Amino acid sequence: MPTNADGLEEALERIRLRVEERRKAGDYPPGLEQQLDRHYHHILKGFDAEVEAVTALRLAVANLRAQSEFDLARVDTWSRNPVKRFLHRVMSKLTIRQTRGVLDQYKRHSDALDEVLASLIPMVESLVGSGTEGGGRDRSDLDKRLHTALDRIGLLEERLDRTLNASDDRSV
Amino acid sequence: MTEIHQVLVGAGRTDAITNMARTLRETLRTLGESEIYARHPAPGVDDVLPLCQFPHDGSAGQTIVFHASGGDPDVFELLDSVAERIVLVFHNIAPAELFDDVDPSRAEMLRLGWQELELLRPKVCLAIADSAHNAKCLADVGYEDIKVIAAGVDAYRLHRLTPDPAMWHRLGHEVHGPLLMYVGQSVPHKRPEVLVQMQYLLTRHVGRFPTLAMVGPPTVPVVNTAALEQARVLRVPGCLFYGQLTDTELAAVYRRADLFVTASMHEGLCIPILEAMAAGVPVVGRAVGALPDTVGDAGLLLPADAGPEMFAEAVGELLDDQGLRSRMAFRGRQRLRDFDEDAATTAFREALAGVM
Repeated sequence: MPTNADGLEEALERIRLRVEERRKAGDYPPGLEQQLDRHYHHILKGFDAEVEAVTALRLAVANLRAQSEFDLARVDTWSRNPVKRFLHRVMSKLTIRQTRGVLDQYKRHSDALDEVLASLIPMVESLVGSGTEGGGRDRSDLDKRLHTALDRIGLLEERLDRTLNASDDRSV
Repeated sequence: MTEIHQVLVGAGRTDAITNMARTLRETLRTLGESEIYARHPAPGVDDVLPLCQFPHDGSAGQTIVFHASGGDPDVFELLDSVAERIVLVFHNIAPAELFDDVDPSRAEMLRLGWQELELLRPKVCLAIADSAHNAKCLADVGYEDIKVIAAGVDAYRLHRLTPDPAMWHRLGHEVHGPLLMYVGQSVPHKRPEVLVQMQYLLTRHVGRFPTLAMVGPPTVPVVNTAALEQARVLRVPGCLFYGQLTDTELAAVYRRADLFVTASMHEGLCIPILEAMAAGVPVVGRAVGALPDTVGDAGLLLPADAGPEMFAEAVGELLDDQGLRSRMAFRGRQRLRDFDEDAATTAFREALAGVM
């Protein structure tokens, strides 16, 4: 323990006693500190989950972008069977115009999708990360308020139980 | 010409370790060429050079002063390959386990810091700790002959400044009743949420209505945001989150404050406590880490496991006892003599002379 001299030791003792008194009087209900700590960790965990969700979204988008390279050269025509290999090559040459057409459509769709995602991600991040304004935040706020309310109801129930027990004891 | 450079993991404009390195640089420059290099210098810090500019020819032949406060593979690689001898100045490393859930990469770096300390030990020719607690932590990882040199801190630095008029005006509007203040980074082991909970108890259960000002950068943003969110959700009155302030703004807060309160679970020194003492603000904290070394008998140190209830009562006790507050303020200023910059510089120079 530290050196608490010149009135500090006495002050520390008074503080200890007062905490005990308040606990006995019910000003500090049993488990209040733990409840506050749980509440904080619940909030902290909520933020972590949101950050993790955004990270997962970013990874998924990065993966999607990595898969968005459309090229004829990536269409496999190889086969172990030489006859089939030959046929695949002939077919690919015969249908090259159609294949290119399909790939072009996919490419255009992919670019459009990429644009949408690029504008959505910052929006999601701002809703999750910082804002107190966005609508996405409201639900999370409601969750937290609900938990606080439930905590307080729990607290009142405990008090009520204690009061009822005390009155039962007295009536006995 | 002799070259003795200092290496830091991070460097900031006003952080304690960088300031100590700056003071030390003046001493080292009397012996030869000396610069400060950091792996992560903050933007705008132009008197600290980036680590990649560290002058070396690849051979191990230099004596380097290394300020250890965390792990970093690049810093370790440089020290391992270039340093022939290391003067280790140990500022302690935060407990990694508290970062696991909120900042895993930082937790990893902190663990790495302890491992690197062990690996560098054969090269360390002089180990300096800035508190008895830090010396003990260093001894726990196998170091011997650790020299304890109390950090030299210009604690009156802020006290000499003219408080920012706008901040002073703002405090006039926002602070009602006594002002409790906390200064420190928002990191898990500083436990800012305990202070929010203390304020909740003071206002909801004890019937006192002080204002709590939380000052400091949101180093781990989620910790800051969660504490702020708890204050908001519980509708705790009088909770002001100011974030990082300029020196003159901070000077205004210290000047207005009635008590400095910290619920930190780990400190290697805690400069804000010394600044509070310089401002005549009594200090309440926990008897953990190096806080007993820093505070001595000048502050009220609660047990290590003290929760918000005990903090709330401690605040009540001190707010009611003007005499005790005055005595604490007086002893705080006396205590600062143990952190004299000149004495620390002399002690460091003597220690260095012994190994050079």
